[in-house]
Amino acid sequence: MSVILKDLNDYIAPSQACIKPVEVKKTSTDNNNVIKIDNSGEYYEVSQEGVETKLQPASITLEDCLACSGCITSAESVLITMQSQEELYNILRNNKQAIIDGKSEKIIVVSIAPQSRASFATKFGLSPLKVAKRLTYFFKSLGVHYVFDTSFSQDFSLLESAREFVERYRKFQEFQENHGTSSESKLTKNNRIKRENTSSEDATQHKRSSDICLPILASSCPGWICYAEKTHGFVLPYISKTKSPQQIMGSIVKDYLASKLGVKPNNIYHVGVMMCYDKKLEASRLDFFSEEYQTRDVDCVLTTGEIVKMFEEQNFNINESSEMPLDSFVKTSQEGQLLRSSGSASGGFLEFILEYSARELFGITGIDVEKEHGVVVKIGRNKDFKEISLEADGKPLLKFASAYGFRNIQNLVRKIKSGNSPYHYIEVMACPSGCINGGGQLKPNESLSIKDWINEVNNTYRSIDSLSPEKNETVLNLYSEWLGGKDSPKCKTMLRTQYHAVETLTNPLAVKW
Amino acid sequence: MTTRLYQIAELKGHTDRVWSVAWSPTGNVLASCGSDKTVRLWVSNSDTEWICTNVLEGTHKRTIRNVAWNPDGRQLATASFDSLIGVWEQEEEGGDYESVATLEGHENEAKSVSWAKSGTLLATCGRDKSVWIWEVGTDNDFECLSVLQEHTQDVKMVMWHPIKEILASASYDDTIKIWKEDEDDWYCSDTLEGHESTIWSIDFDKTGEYLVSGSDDKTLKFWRCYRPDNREGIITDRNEPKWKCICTMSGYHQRCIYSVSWSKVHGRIASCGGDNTVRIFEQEESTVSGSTIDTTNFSMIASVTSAHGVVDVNCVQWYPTEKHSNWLATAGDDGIVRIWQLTEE
Repeated sequence: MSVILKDLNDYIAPSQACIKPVEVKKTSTDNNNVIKIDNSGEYYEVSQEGVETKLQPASITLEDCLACSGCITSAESVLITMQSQEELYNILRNNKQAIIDGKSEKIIVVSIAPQSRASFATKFGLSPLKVAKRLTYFFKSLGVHYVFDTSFSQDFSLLESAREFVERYRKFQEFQENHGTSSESKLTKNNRIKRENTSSEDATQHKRSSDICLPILASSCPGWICYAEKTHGFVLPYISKTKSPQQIMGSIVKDYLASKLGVKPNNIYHVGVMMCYDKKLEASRLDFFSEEYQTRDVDCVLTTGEIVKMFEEQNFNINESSEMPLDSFVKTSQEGQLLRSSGSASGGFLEFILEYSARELFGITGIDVEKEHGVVVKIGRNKDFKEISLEADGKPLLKFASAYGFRNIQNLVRKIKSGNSPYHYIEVMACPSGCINGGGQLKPNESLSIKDWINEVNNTYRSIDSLSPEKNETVLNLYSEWLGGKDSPKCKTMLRTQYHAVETLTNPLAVKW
Repeated sequence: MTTRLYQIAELKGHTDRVWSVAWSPTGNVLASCGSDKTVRLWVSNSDTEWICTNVLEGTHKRTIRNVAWNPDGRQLATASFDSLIGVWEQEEEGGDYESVATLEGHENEAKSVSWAKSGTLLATCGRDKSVWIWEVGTDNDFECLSVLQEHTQDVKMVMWHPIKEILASASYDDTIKIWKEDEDDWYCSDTLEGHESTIWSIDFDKTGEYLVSGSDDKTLKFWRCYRPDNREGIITDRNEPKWKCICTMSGYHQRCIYSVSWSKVHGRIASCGGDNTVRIFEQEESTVSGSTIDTTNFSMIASVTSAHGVVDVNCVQWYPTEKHSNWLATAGDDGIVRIWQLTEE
């Protein structure tokens, strides 16, 4: 396991030592017992009468890890053991046994992220379409029933994020008008008072209800969300409430697909194939767990690298593999070509939201952010910070930014805290270079530098045509058929979520010089 | 002729152990900080009469572990166990110091802070194993340029090169790392291995070609920077200079070495630590001629035992300019700051 951990380049590193106080069930109330350790390292409690009882090792669950502020990190080792290919193999084995026993099997669904697909395609020298068809073959030959693509659910995520932005922008404007401040001065100044009080998080600005907090910060990066919840509670109201593509696919599979197939959500086992270990954390959030059915929207997340390990375990050679036609929830053209959304390989949030809100708020059409048409682009102090504004007569109407990597997140968080952020929307990603460089992605062959490798994977990602989410007919149909319209209460439950500040844990024993 | 260290002043005021001392760039002011969560500034009227002119307090909620002057002499930075980095500025000459920025980012105890020669970069480190590089903007707006996470343990100290924008960091992982900037980010250009335990302190000589380190393994090590194609034939990789240990001083300190200081004026090295002793070393004339490897030797020329009574000496700093270049300041667990003079008789 240390090999996997060593290769992680997510900014979040495991903490020195886990300091979560663990509740251990006491076997007796007698305080005079002694603890014995045998040769194999097992612990026994020995009572005064000499009776030995084996003690249970204390264990940290993923939920413990999520709820603890002891370290910023996702304890990757916890994640890796709880969501692994072994777990998927178990489900597949149980299914085979269920068929023999004449019992009903679980429906197994695999949803693949386009960033993972691009990583496979670059590594094995295949087109993304061939990768999609061969992965479909691979998973179905193992006993999986459906293989989907999270570019499909990403379109929901983009549409919903853009609507949320426009809603919040309008409420923000309304608030400013009612309180006699122009939006511009509110965003850029608002600061003198704050500066003297920078460490106080309950200053009035932060008490404002979240529906008028600007900038909106992107929500699809679980590393960023986890970090914000554990260390910067004040920033949570700013974070977009729209679910990530992975979790919207979770809603589609466990709600829409389940009802279509006439099965209960807990009879579907849903696996995500993702670019990032922290997606495992996201899948484990209680917000995405159904009490009623005791099931998660995404049951297990495997990284791109873990899938290559499965290839090896299954003696599968993707370069010589058969292909299978793509399933329904895959973003494709009518001719069966794969499609993506315009913009960065981190999901294209900034690009789509800017184009959508330019039209909705200012009636400006025809801009193309990816091609830098109609917007002003400024690269920041480093390549992972970019500023993109929509201007009219030299004045900025909308100011967006993308901030990738820990160093840029730090500056961003400080700017928001001091009221110094001039932005309306910020696409935040924890990894330098964004999702395409996720910690779970495949590594380059030795001859290639990391930088060139990321460029290649990025180019593969962008090698397929783009289609606006607003033109994705299947998605638009599902809005009415499944959700009952774009403003329905069901939209809120299926497409939006919430965040929770984790209380700081102070453990005096954890202090070191 | 013998060389001796005399105490010339005792600076009392801190109410708990003193962790660090730092001379202002001109030497006119001495700053000290410690467990009482304050920074105290000291000025001398005469060699023996010192007064505390300012007490900087209120920002940090826990021990202030380290204090450093901006080379412009107007600002001070502090690293605290409360995880914050404080930046303080004097309003006007002779006036009060106010907290002008607090930098959040370290996950827990911050251990050390250092300003680059230009005064435009600040480095910090701490128990969270990270080294941070901050850019000093206008209006005390600090921007994080990099978060370097290659040390595998607690980072005890950061120190900038005296001339170039090159940073050294010392860690509980027994290594020293050298950091440089390329086109887009900072990277580790060399890792100095050799100490057998935690490295608590490092300092460059005035040229930046040599580095001294003090460790929990009770030794001082001297390191030299070899450029690619050096005439000594030291192999370098990736066209980066290579730091090699050229001398190890063992058998002097009986316990952990907490602090080292390399005088930029006369080149002598001072060290102190858990054996309550302050020691002074001097570079010997080159002893082997025509050798391909530098065999520069150092020898001890003076020492003071029980410099702070029976307690640890946490920090030692040479006076920075010609004026009193034979002065030293030390900080101890007894809560006292002491000034020493090195004299030749």
